[in-house]
Amino acid sequence: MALLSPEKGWWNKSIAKDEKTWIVFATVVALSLFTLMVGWHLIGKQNPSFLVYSTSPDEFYKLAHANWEKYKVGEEGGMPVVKPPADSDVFLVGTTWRWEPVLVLKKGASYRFHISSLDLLHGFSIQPVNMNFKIHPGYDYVLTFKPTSSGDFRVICNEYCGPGHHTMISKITVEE
Amino acid sequence: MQEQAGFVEKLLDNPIGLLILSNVVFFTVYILWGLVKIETIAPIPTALKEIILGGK
Repeated sequence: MALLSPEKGWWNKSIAKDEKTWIVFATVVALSLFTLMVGWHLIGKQNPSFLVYSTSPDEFYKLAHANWEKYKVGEEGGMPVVKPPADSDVFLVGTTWRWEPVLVLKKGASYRFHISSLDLLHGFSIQPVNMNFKIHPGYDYVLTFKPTSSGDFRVICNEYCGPGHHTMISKITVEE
Repeated sequence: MQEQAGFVEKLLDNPIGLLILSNVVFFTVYILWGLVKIETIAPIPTALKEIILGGK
């Protein structure tokens, strides 16, 4: 059975009181969530989203390569293994379909990660701690990173980027 | 106080007003905010590039 047409002129009728209450309540909830989203940067001690620079894939790769050459300690699976000193800049590049390089970090030390993509949108995700960050090409995202536990952590891509997406795995080793 | 309640009542009874409030205002603010944010992103500082490329 088809739905009956609503009564003529329903558009101009006043909304019922409980519906008005609901609209006001829903608006307050939405505004509170929005405020919390912005406030969480401070309360949750999150990396501020405004720490980003514009760049080009060529420029970023040149900087990343220079940085890797300086702190390279070996090679693993065709990728450089980089061991940067504490409180230094670390460069990570996402490309189809790999995260470069393999990193060796020190527990408790602070690092400034510069992360960018050379081609399309990738998701920088550290497992199993479940840290996620969207990485667009053309931007250098700066994240302050301080490992608090030692061990091997996987870096994966969590934004579908093509047929090799699932093979985009790298490693961060945190030493004591 | 009476005037304030009257205004809210009037707004909630106005479907076009609610539509503008819930869609047009947010759409305009987000688009403008996004444009300003993207356009004001600075390039990588030269000093940082020199440190990385200069091999200090």
